Amino acid sequence: MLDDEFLSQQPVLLSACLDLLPQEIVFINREYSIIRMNASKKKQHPTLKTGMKCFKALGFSAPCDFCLAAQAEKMETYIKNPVCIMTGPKKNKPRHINITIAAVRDSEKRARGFIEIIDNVEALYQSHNQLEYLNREYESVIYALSHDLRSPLISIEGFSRKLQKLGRTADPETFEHCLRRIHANVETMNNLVNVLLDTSRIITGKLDLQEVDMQNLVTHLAEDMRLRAGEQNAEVRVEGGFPPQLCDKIRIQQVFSNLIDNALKHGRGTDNLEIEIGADANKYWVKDNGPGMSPEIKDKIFEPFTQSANSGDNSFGMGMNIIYKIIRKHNGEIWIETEEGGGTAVYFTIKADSAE
Amino acid sequence: MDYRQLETILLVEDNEDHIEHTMDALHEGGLVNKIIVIKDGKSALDYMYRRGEYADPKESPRPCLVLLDVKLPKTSGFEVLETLKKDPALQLIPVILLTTTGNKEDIERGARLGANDYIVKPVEFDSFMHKVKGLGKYWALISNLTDLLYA
Repeated sequence: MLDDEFLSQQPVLLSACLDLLPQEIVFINREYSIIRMNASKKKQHPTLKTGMKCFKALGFSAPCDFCLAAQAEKMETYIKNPVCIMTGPKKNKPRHINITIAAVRDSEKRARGFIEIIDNVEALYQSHNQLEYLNREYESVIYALSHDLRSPLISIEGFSRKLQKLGRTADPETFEHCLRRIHANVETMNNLVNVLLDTSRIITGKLDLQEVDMQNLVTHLAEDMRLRAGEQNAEVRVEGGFPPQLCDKIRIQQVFSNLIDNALKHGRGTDNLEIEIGADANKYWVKDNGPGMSPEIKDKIFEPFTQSANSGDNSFGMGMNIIYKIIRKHNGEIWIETEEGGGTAVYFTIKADSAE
Repeated sequence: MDYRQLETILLVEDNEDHIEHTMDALHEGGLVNKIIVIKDGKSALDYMYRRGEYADPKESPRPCLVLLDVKLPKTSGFEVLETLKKDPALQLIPVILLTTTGNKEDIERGARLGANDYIVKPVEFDSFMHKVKGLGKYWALISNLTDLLYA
């Protein structure tokens, strides 16, 4: 029968129980020699052996700075200490842990050694960071959204009130004007909702990965854009060879198309505007000799609702944020090189084999 | 003191529809002051500093009041506000911020930068006049002080 007496007579049970725990647990005597450790500890540090000095086994010549064993003896209760240590061959991989240390005492309350319990909280820490980042992004989206949705609402309210006030006395021109503005503002709200839906689909949706003929995609896109470019005497050029790429065709097309669109829009007024679409292995770029952007705009260009000075009335400043999300979803990087008056180059990579 | 300078209101607002509503509200309320409209923050500062096309003081008189939208292209409303309130020559001109959302942080930031008051859009004549009355006491105080100083 299982009772307390039975348990206290089964020292082997202690080890079995400790092996079930995900925490790394090690017993150390007062000379810092390892007496016993559980399965998680052995898994994390395969080179550790009982009898070793614990700090030497970890590559230190003296007890670790963060180890509280020396204090644990004097403490009535256990000590918990959150620590970030750098691990990996290059010592550049952070590992956030919670170390709990308590003295192990005999019946006369003398400390015979210590028990060290390490909780790996790296995943928790990362998800906390990720949550904080998402929270900040969420707040900025809510702020911008409340402005961008309320602004057309105020207009609609104003024009409908004007119509109501004028009633049948309104002259046809004013009547027509009010209705036109109400319609335009409804359209603005509709466009904004569509942009948000698209953003949310990119965040939550799955990529439709396939081997894409990038040369074909880019060539066709450039042809489509040339008509618009021609209207403002701009040239769209495709440079270099584009090897086939595993990616979501529609989304990557959206990235190129938005980038070219931006270059054309912001390059309005630039004489001999040239837009270059290029590739080198899995690095792609869209460069222009347009007006470039200020350091302030550059710094927050990938944040949602970032508008540059001449983006025009119909933009919500979500374009670059959407591009950023698509590339990150493809496990790629995106960066920008620009200076005021010196053109803009947007580079990105795609590593779709490891994409979400 | 040149009392003619009390005749102009500067409205800094980029949204055409909102400009129309504000002008409607002020005119329907019977306001006869001249309202000059500027559509971005940078031009607002050019106006206040009489730079470029605003160089002629007759064409671009100093306003007695600035209605300043918070969210503006090029230079934001807050940047305009900060510049005006840091300049001893311009800081006494009252600035009423216009906000679309009534966002608390925006209002507090405006207050810290020296805004005299704020209006949550749409601008309505009654609430506008209520704010202006509050500022009217302020102006009276300033003009009395000026009279005393130069008496």
